[in-house]
Amino acid sequence: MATAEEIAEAYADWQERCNVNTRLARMLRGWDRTVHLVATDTGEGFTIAVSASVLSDLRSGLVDQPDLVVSATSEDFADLFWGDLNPSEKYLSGEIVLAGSSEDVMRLDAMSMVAFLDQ
Amino acid sequence: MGLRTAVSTSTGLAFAALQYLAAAGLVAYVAGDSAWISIGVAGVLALLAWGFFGELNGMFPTAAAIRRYMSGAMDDRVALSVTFTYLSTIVLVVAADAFIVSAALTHVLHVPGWLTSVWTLALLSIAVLSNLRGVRAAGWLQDVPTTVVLVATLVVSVVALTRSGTALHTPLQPLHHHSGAGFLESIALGIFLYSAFEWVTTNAEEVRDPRHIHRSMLIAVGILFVVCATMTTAMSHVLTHAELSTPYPQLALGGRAFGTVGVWFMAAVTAVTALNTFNGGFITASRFVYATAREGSLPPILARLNDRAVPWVPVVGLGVISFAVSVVVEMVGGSGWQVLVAVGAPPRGADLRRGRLLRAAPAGPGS
Repeated sequence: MATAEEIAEAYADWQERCNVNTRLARMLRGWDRTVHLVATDTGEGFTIAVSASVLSDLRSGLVDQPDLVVSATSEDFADLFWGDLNPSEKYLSGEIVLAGSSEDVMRLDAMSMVAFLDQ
Repeated sequence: MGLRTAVSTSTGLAFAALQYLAAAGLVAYVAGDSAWISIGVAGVLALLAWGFFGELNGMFPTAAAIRRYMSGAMDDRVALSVTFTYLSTIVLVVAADAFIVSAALTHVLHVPGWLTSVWTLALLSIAVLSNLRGVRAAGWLQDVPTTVVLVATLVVSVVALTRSGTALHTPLQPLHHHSGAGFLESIALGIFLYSAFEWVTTNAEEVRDPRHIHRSMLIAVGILFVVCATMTTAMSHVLTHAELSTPYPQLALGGRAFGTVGVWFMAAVTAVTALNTFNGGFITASRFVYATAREGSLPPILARLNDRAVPWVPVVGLGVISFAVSVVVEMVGGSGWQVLVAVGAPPRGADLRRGRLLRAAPAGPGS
């Protein structure tokens, strides 16, 4: 189980990777979304916003109307943001559950992949 | 996604241009206007599949459900092989639809036969390019083509039937001058008419209410039964054996209902069905290939994304393979599409087998 602080730390690293990645900036052009993260084991919620190809800071709590809701264990969230976990594998095995349009799901997966491929 | 869009998605995935050919083929196996019995029996089998897929969706409302359930029911490699066999059907149906639409356009426009391949190439290129650019039709825009195709097919069938006289010949005697084996063949083709209605389960994450998925599948089975049963009855009444054997029997049906205008009308309807098939086929197959490559079960090149977050390698690959298959169909000649129908039917049976396996080994999320 990961604490909220550990998730925030992992997210900050991922956020930085994403925001300096020029390819990802192109991929996120025009894709302004609010994403809710729900930790299934701790019950905690977090909110991420993408605006003008830039990822916002992680906010605690479920804020605003989400376009996409991601549910996973707190440990999986932390591992995902550190790049230690393949989100597609977890998704296909049913351990990460998403609610949103298929296009949004693809974009989110692209973020998790490109951020680490282009380092 | 609301219930209406879920219904149109489920029905639209099943109703391809190949549907007209399968319906015409089915008419040949049973006596006259009793083809509805075969379609009804196939519908009951489709309801069995509906029960399994409804349960699957209820327990695990995600696009990954099929993969998740199959890997829980059997060895992961076997599950992947079966799923890819199923996916190959999508390629075959896309290829067949491209060929049928092209052949219909060539016939209606009275242009040389070699242009069929050019039409096919153009249609598939448009589908590939729009996919690569991430073009998505809005929900209501997905509803319109399906509604137009189904209503048009129903109206043309009823009008053609009315013009030939409404008296039914052998509505309850499918074996009249036909064999039991023929009846079984007709049921197999009937199953094909419902094939792919269950793929709406991959939209589970997009619906407002997860119950929309299994409700939409049930409604889609009912709609498909009504439209297909009416169409086969009309075909058995008004079309000659030669017309039933062409790659575009729906054009002749349109002609019987409304003359030349009807032929053009059904050619346009056929083209609209291709919109549904190409759109649904390319998106479904390419995203599945992408997800499997991301998972590490396929070469990483298949997980490459363009700047619009579209997995371009699977999309282009599907387009190329579909074109190659359609060219082969054209070279083989008149029997080519029959091969596609025959190949297309077994994976539907695989669904039923899969459903049984899934029931034997249910698995909840995260279990």
